[in-house]
Amino acid sequence: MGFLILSDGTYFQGRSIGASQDGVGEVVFNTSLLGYQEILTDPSYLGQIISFTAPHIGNVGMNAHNYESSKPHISGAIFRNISQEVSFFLKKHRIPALTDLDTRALTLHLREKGSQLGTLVHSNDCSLRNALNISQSAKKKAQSIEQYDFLENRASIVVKSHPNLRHIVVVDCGLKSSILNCLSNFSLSITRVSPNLSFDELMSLKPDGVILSNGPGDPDAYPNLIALTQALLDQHMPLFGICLGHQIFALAAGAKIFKMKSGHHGANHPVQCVTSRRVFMSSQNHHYAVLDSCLPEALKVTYRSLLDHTIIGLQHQYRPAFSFQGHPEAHPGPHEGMFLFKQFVQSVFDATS
Amino acid sequence: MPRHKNLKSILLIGSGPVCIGQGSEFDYAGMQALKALKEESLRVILVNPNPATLMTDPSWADATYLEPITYEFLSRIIEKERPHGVLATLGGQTALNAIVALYESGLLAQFQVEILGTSIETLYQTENRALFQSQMLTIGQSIPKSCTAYSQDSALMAMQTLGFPCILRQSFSLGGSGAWVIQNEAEAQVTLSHLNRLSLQDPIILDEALIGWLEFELEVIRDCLGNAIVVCAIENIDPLGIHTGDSVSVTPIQTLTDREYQEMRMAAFSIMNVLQLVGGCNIQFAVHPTTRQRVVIEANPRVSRSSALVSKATGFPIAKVTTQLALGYTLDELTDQIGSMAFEPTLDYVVIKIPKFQDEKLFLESIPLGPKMRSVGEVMAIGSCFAESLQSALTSLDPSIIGLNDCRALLLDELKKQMKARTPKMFWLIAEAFRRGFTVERLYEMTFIAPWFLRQVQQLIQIEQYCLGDSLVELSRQDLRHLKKHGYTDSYLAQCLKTTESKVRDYRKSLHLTPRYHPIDSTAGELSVEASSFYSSYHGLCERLDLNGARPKIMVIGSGPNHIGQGLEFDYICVKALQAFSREGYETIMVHCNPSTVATDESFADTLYFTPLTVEKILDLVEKEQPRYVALQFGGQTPLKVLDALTAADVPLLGLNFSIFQQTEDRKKFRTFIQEHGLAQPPNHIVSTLAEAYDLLFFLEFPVIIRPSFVIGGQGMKVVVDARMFIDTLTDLLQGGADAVLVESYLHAAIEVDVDVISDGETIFIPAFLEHIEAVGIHSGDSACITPPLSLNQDLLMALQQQSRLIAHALHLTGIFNIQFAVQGEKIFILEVNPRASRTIPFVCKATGIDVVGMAVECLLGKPLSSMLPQCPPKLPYYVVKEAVLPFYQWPQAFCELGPEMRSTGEVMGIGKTPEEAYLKSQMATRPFHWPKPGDMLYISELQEAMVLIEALRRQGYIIVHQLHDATPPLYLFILDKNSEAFRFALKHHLPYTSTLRAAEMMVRSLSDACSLNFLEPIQVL
Repeated sequence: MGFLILSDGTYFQGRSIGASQDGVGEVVFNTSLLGYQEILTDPSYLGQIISFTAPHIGNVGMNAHNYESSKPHISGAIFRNISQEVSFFLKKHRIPALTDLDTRALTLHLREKGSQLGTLVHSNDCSLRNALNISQSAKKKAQSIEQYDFLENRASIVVKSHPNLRHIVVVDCGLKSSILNCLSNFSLSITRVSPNLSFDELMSLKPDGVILSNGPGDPDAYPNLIALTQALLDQHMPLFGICLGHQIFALAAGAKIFKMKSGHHGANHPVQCVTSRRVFMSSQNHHYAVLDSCLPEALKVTYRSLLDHTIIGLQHQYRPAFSFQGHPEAHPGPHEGMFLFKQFVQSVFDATS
Repeated sequence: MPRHKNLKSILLIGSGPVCIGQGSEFDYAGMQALKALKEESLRVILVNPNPATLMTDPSWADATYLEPITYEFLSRIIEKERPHGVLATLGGQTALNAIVALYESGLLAQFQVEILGTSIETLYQTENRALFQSQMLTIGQSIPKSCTAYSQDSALMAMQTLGFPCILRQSFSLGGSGAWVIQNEAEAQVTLSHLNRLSLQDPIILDEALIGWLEFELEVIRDCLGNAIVVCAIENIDPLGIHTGDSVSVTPIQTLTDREYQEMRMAAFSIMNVLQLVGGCNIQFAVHPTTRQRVVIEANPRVSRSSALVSKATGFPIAKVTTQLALGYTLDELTDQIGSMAFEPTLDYVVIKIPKFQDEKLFLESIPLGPKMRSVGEVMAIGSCFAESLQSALTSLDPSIIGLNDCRALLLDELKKQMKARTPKMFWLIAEAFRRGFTVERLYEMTFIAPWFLRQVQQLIQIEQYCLGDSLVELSRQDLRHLKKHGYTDSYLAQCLKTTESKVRDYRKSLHLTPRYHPIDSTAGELSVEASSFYSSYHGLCERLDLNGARPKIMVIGSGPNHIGQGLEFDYICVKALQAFSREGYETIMVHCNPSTVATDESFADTLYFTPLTVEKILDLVEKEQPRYVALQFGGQTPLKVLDALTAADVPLLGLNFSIFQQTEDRKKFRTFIQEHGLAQPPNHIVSTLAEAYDLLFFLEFPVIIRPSFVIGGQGMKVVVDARMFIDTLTDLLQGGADAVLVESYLHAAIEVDVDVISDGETIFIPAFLEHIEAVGIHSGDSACITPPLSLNQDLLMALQQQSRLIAHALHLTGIFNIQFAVQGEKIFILEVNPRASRTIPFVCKATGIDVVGMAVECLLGKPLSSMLPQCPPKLPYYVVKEAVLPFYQWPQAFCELGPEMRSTGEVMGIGKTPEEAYLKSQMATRPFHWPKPGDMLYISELQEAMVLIEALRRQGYIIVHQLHDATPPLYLFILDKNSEAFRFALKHHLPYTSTLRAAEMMVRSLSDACSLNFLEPIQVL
């Protein structure tokens, strides 16, 4: 037995199959049909409890190629049906999880009431009252999730290095390894750096281009990185923001951000290129979006969501910088957006030659 | 990009008669196309000779031609109507073949008709294997390897290159009998030397054997700008080698990683791009189970059976969007209530399709499933998990199927044998194997079904073994809920716990366990969508709300999967009934499980439920919805299977009730009824025991017709010609549980007449008398028929009318019912009364232009016939013939003589100024044959009875032969002596033939000079 208790008091019952502990986090749903391994190991989900809407999760086990980071960063996971391999994986990484839970009712609730904090209460002999008590005390703990250090106290990690190649610095706010894989298709030197780096530290790496990665949480929680990005823009540094990085870029360029009701979390989100009107599907996982009404003149909208017309892509009019709210690196999700990496690499070459 | 400017009128080509592999899904596609074209205010010219279709209802197109889909007729229609564009991607292969023929003749260019959607060049590239392969190679897609060898040595070398196992075929082999699976080099040597001994000179074809590969289908839509989406991906549970139409399939896909799926998806897009496809397209891939290598199997540049399935599974209208894209729109310009149509559905439920087989009717029981499709229909079920969906799908196939219990009695050897033989019973066999302790690994080796699916079945067996004790009362609420969440039916639990279904139902309800209804939702709950289609589940919360609308509710029960005897016609009737009930102010609820129907298009009923048509599910729905009436008489025989139980549960039924049903279907009661009312049946006897059968032998004059009680499609009916056959047949029937069997004298020289009667309880209306062309004894569904009748005088028609009225009164029938009469000279006999809408109604509607179903609905709701139009049957200034389409050309193994058991899969119609013209057109519409003209050679049996015909044909200048030679086949065969050689010859050479004297006489008259084919009018002007 186990319960998911939302902060509005709504509760859902399930069967505990993960680690023998409780979890607290913002409860979000993801509608991807496949790619659960990528989602579970995507650092962007740090501190969140993910509910999968797909009926069966874990059918293909855990595969060596499909990790987006070395371990799951989530606070909990919720399934309707789950395979043994995945529940073992979660146990191993001390992630609490529930299965046999009514994920559709949960999804509809989150859709109507907005995403909210929840407690995943694990127990073998738990009454609802106990669970509610546990959730009350657990919630206090949750208030203080520290900003996570994905580089584990290191300032930078060299991914690939060659003196004759252009050097791309990837600011790691919770980087998915697929972004590095996408860059690896080009002949580049690549370095991962912490978002807390100063401008001088960053410039000392002599980057030819900078990628602002995806990551968890509210972009306003990264004031240092926003300032850093402003400085890079002033330097005419080729820049590509992905997901959280898109929001950071927008803030640095003077735009504003708002929190969406339940965000976009799925692998089937249509986006349209504003100029060519071409449409493609994208993987999206974001809770915040760039506000349309006070977009600075310097930023031009390149892509919009065809579902709610929110801004999905931006291009700086006067700097070699652009960004995409979705996940061009895919994994999970459609591969159509991968051309954006090519576009970025092209801008790096244009700027340096 | 808005639609092409200059389009004002469009020619839409349908798919013709229903045959195996091309069924009602194309009527559904055509209907969506028609709706999309009407939204654009375009003039639509439709060609489809299939009268059972909804698309040919006069209310849809502007000009509907029920004419053969052949070059000859299409060219005349184009010349007459001058359409600006032609749309051929919604009418299956039939329409594609037609458009290619029109293009190649230059006719389209001559009349400046634009081909909309996918271009001719693309069609060539997908149809021509070599062109397709080279295109695939240019974009780096692998395809199954294949080569041709002309000698033993080159064959060996080719096999070594291909790798083992591979498939070796003789190029001339028919029906796959000359194909070998070669496992290794030693086997190759043996087989080749064997072939050498046979001294075969033909080249040998070697194919990579993709045995055990997983099969996936992507339903892709692309617009003219190159925007493309995958509406849905389907995984075929049966591995490669079994036709996709014969495979159990599931959506969403279950056994690919995201990486594998996304790469497949990108491959599908590059295929669409290189072929420049526009509209809906189906692309099939195979994936190796361990190396995960992927190959492209084929691309179908048109909407297909799978498109219909996917449309119903997701709510995404593929055929409608295909039509709009063909008009020049792009995906971003199209919207529905979710928003943009450039959207890939994502599901939070599991959809399973299971094909419906009738191998017993087609004599295919001993042939394993293979690359040639033979299923006759399909069902779709939805569940919140795989198990719930699977069990729901199994019971949807037939309400009498009770879960996974069927194979319990099989001996172990037999079980293993059947499993390897690839029969349609695979899931029952697997379940039984798990009960006997087989492992997943072992079953995988035997079946090549992906282990994930096997484990799902294994889990079901574990659950039932864990939860099911000895009695119902021991079953806890928690366990029962667990069982119900995994799709166990009340009837299955009753069987396992040795109790009755109603006791399980009562017990379940006492524990407050009732199904919840969830919407078919293409966003997995992410977006709020107003849904009108639902499925039932024991998971989650009920989302069917707002049950108390202002209007009274009517619940119409559909006909279930298409099968021989019950097809598209009942889809037509159900939809027309839904429309009529809506007009009368009712809120309509449709209950169905067949994805390839128009009735399951969400726009025809206010609410649609996708559930099995079982007592359990229907009673659940009745309790949930509280309809004013439930209507069982529009879905053929299937809904009548629940009549008994619904009556027992006091469900308010509209019109039909159990006592009427018993009086007409129970042969004994019907016989008494006929005698009591001074009517006549052919001389007959009722047999209930074998002893009675032996007694009867002394009186019988053969042939006799045997009619068991409660049947559809003539199942179990037979013409019996001698005593031995008589005893054998009755032994089978009586041992099979039949009670009253009617043994009926064969009426020589009698004419069968079908009438559909509308009754308001007082007066009746007969829109048309259908005179059969074939003699009594051939099932009405397999007979051609003609209206107005040729050989019935006014007095006889009056008498038929009178007897119909008498039957309506005596049985208290209101609404619609069907009577089959036999007329012998001046005498009238009653063969059968069917107290429900019959197969002939769509044909009657098209032939007369009367909305028969609408009138019946008004009668059922209490309106008098006197308030409706028309008052008397119209005098038709033309003749209309309906002809059956038989499956024998596709499956020569299935060939048999026509008899009282129905074999046809579909029907066509022909209209003409004369009976001959109508008849000939109906024959031409059945298949694209080459029709004989004077001077051509005809075969005719050398019989005394045929002398007149032979003379008549000779006078017309035909060359008559009585022998058959492969080198010089005749163009038409009159096989009047049951010569099986001649039948085989006709099927082998795809030649038209006739096998009864009546039809032969009609055909001879039709082949004469007097028969011109001038009549060419849309039914709207008739």
